[in-house]
Amino acid sequence: MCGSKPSVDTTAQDQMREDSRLAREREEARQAEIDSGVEQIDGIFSGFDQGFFDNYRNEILGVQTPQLQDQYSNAQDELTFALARAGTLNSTAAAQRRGDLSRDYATQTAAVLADANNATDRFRSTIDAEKGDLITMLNATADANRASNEALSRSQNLFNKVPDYNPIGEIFGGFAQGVGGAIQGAQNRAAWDYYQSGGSRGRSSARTVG
Amino acid sequence: MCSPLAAAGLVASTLGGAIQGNTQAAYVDEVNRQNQIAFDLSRDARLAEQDRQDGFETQARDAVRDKAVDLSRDNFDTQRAEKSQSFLDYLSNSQPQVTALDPTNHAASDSVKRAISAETSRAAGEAQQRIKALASLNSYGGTTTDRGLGIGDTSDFLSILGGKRRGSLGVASQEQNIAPAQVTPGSSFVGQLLQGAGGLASYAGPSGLSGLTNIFAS
Repeated sequence: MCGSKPSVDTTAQDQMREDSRLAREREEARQAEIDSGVEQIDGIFSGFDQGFFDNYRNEILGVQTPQLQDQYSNAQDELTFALARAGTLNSTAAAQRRGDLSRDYATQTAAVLADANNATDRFRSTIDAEKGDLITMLNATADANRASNEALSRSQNLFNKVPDYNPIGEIFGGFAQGVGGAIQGAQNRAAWDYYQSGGSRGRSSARTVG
Repeated sequence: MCSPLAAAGLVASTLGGAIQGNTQAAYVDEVNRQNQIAFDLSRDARLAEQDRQDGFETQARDAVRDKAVDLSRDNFDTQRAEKSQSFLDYLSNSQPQVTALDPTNHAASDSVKRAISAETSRAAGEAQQRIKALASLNSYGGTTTDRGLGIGDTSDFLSILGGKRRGSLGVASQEQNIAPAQVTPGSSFVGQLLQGAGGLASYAGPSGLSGLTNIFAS
């Protein structure tokens, strides 16, 4: 008919949709930045691989194993001297002592390895915690460059970290002392037997009456 | 009887009303149409966001499910056994031989030689038993560390995913907030004119015509 059509103004709506489109673009860019940051952090920390941790453990073993070997060598010497002093160098008791010492040495070698493994596990956890911090920071800031720089700095510190180890303590003390005590006991018993027997050698209960 | 002027006024008034009514109806239709367009756009944005959130949800569930499988009791025992074996394998290359032999190599009697052999066997057996126990014990540390690190990695992944989900939801609320276009009613000048003139004519009638004539004449 003769009336004109209603007019439609989409200016405000178009503006809102454009704002939304830009916001979506920014959000997608933010997410891509986070993905990129994670990739960079993973790349920087990829140096901490199995080979790195094997070396870390071997460094600890390289320090502690010679200490253990020295202690074992000294204990062997002390045991040999003690057995020689007691005149039991070639005896079943000596064999038992040597077997015990050798057993303890083998067991302590394993204990040193266990300690080195534990120290390596602690270091792995430390590295993972650093990485977790970086991911959290990246998630909050969506700044891949900053996360990457921080990852480089922290990984450098971690690479420079001296392996965590404690000097091994006294491991084989007491082997030679035990031998001395046993010998002294044997000598005391012999003296007592001698006294009981009225001065005669041997363990015979017969007395010679002159 | 109705005068021709009054009749014409009635027709003009009716026609004007119809024109105005149509204009108003077109306005209402357009408002409804624009509301529907805004609603559809908002719904499209909502559905798109649902798809995105479903995608994130699937990724999160997959990650948790995979980790749950890793963390099963059976896997724990398997991983421990592997760690324990790895420990023993490492030692097999570096472990000193257990022996009761005299390192000074003094001559020994037969009975002492037998004792040395027996003590070597006993000490080696005890060492093996203790080392095995140590390997088993140590495997707890290694395995729990591995699992802890694995949980940490999954946690990092879920944290990133959570950030993406929140970010996307924030934008989605903006995307869904779409105002309808502004609609301005169309002009019905002709209708208003007809209605006005018709009303005037109807009101004036035959007597009013002379009055009008006089007004225009003066």
